[in-house]
Amino acid sequence: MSFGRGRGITLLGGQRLASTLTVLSAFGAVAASGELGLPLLGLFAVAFVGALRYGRAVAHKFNVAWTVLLAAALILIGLQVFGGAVDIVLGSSWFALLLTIHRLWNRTTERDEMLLLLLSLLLLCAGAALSAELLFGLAFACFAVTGTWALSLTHLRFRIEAAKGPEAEALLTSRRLITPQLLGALGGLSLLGLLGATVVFFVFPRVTIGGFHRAARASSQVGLSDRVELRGSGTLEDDPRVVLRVRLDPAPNKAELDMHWRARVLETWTGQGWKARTDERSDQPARWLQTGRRRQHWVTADIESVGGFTEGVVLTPEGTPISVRYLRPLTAKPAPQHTRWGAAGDVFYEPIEVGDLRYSVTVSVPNSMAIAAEDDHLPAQLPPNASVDAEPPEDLDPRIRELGRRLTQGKPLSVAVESVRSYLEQNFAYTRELAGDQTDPIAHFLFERKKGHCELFSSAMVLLLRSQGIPARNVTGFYGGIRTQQGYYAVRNGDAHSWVEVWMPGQGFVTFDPTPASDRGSQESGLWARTVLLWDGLQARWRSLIVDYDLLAQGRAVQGLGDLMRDATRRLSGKAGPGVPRLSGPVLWALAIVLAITALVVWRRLRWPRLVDAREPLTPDQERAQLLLKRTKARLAKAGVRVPEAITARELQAQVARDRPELSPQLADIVTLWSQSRWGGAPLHRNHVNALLRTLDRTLRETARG
Amino acid sequence: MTVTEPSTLKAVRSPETPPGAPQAISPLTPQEAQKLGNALAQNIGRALKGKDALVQHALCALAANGHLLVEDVPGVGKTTLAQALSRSLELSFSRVQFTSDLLPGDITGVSVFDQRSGSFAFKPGPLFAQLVLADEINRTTPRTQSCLLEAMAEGQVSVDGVARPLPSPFLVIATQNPHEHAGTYPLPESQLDRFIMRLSVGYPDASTERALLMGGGTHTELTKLTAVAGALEVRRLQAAVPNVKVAPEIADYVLALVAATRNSPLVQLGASPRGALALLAAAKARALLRGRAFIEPDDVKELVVPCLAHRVALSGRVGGEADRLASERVVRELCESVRAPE
Repeated sequence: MSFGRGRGITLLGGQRLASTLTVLSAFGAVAASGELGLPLLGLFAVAFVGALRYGRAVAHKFNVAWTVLLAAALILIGLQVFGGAVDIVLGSSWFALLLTIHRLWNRTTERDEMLLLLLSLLLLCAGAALSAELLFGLAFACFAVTGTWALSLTHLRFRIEAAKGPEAEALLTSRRLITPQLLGALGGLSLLGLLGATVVFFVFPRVTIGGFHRAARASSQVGLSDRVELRGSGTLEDDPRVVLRVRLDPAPNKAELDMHWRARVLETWTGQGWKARTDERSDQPARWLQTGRRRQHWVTADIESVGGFTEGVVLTPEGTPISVRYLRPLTAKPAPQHTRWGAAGDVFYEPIEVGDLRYSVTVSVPNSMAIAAEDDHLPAQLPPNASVDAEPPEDLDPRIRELGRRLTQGKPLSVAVESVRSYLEQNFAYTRELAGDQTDPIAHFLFERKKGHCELFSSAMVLLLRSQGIPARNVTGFYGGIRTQQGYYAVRNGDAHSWVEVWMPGQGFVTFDPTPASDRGSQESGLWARTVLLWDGLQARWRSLIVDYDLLAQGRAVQGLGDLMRDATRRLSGKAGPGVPRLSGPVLWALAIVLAITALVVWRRLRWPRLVDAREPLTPDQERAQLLLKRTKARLAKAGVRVPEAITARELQAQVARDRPELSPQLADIVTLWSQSRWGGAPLHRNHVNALLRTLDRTLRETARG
Repeated sequence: MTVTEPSTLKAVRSPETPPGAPQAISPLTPQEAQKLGNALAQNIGRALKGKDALVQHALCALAANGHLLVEDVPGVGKTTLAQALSRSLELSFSRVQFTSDLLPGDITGVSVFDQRSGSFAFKPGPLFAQLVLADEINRTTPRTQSCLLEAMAEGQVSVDGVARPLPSPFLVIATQNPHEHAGTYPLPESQLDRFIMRLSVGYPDASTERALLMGGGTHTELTKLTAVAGALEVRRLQAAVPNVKVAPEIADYVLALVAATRNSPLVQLGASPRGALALLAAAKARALLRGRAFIEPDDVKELVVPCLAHRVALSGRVGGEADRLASERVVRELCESVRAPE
């Protein structure tokens, strides 16, 4: 689409384009929720392109077929909604989409166009109910701009069409009405309105949006389920998508965290993997896990679970979880109500059917590895009420037992555990490639392949320790976290990890990680990973500023503004406290001068309005005539005729008649026609212009050859 | 200021239709005007050979109802132009040789006491002709000059307190000899402004002059000229000029040209608004004579020098022929500096 003189778009075309863009924006708002499903997305795409291509030809021709189709769709969707298979909001969105498609195919009258815009608005509302993602925000802004264009141009078009007559026809086909300035002004106006609405949004009390967003998008996360299988082949995916956003208190000053995020404790060895020992969950943390801690400190993590996990697992930092608090703004969605504590120390929330989740977890962490070597002896004593499944499997490979014995014999507990860990870390290589199905994956890993992924490392360490009667267990979750621009730590999908916890008398379960440190977390650091992080940062900001912006945040924002003002006044009045830089005299003077100049400029602008060129624009015929002369001059100049800048048409004609008489007849025709159309108001058809230029071209070619 | 309004144009010219003349005159169509113009130019060209541009300009002045100042040396065809024009149009013609002792009454006419009727009777002077050749206008006193110029502007003369309308069409062709200084009264700028154009004839080229010698002068050709149109046709032509369409860009172009003469450091006194009006009127006439009902930029550009050169006063003027040439050159260069609309 270009807006050059006489090459812009007509009012008619502009109106149709604006409406189409509006529909697209609204569709984008719904599609951003990801709830539509691939078939409906495809259907819309096909119907959309089809409507643009063939819509005009078949508009209002197959009314009966459309009605039957829509009625059938309504019945089908209705049945699904009543049957409980489909959410009513989603069902309504589907139907609104179908109605929009119908209207796209049948748009001729003003009523059709208005209905189309109304349906777009409905789609936008559906999008708002389904999601409140950043993408929706973008689509919303697009809708605001294109919708304003569409509304005003539709109104304009049909008022002009109603007038009828040649002037109306000329207006409708004029390419000078839809100027970039007009579109820019309209778009700016709508964005200004949006901005005003945003101000209201931030200043007045409100509830969150995105309330109808359902939890169906929660994904099943590998490693968070209550089973782990060590079989299978292929390569583990290193997915840079962010799953957790974490803020820690106290905040570590590190670009990358070296923390484990515990999800599940898997205690029972199945021979091919791990499973959770028991499904018992209680309202209280198991007491035996809480006891026996010596010098300790607390760490609180504020965690946003981005994807939402179907397993209902609460991720906790390293240490013993003490309490979980759910952070949700006022919302129409169901919020997690209960925390359930697993017998092995993992934590769950209920109900699971919630969307994005945010909670704050406090854990107690031992201050240091305070080890009294004399007290510790093998095998370690578990507390009497502990229910830990730490028995070595009966069919354990004797080589494993032998290796365990060799590594731990005669050492105090902590040294023994550390020697097993460092043995694995130093002698085995990390790979994301799976080994395939093995009858004993651990023996295969330890004695044959000597490389594997984190689950093999941790499983091997647990079995080695258990073979010597040391209570150890396998833990899954995530490792690491990379600091983002927004100040939170992003834990990615590829950071999924598995490690070991060992019971240390007096300290509880202590984390040991046999996987080489450099291979624990996500390795992805390319452009894609950076883009994902950037996008996640934007989404986090959107979420905190828009979606989760509530009364408290409002209060904080106003307070921040007040602080800013107070600070500014303090600085200006020179009463700044120590540490706050004071504004010096010259700076104040410079400020005053800048303000005065600005005021003067504004005043002059208001006082002396710019001279407005109130000239009537040229008619299309005049423009064509102008273009004809311009192109003729260009062609002649190219053919070697001297064409000074200020030469007039008749002077050029006289000059050509003198210097290049063979061109004279063609030029005379052109100048006569130019004169009649440019100054005399005679019509000049485009074909005529082209024919004249072609004749000139031919003559030029012939004379060049001759 | 709007220059496209025909009503304002009338203010600087003599009235379209003098009192007593028939009121309703149907203007010529552009095609008829072109035909008339071509016929006239051809007819005059027979007597005044090789001076097509001059004839065209003279016809423009006639159509625009203005008056001509022809500045050139004697013997190049000023009188021939006037006579050929009058013969081609069947206009009454008179010629006044301006001398220093010529009195206003000598050209306007005087009231003479008629003893038979016992009352004063007006005896019209040479000014009461449709085409007046005022020869060597700078030789007469300012008093007589202003009498002539007033008649040109008003289209009437007042003798003994009675206003007497001049015939229509009324065209004065005044001549000046730029080489004679002794005993002349050069016309002041205010009076030069009354002439729509200043033209110079110039020497004929060698072949034309040779043909002239072999053909035995212009006299025989002149006597053989027949009229191609009458006074009525001329008035219809004049009536058609105000109807010529002027695009806003053309008006802007005229304004820009006039402004250029006012802003140039070479020029002490730029063209007046009357100059702008005259230029536009002449351009309209030219467009009409070329068979168009609208002006194009070339109509204006071609007439800039004849219409504006005598209206500007150069800084440090020297007078005479050099002055004319200098001002024409300055105006031409200024004109080239203003870009014509396309």
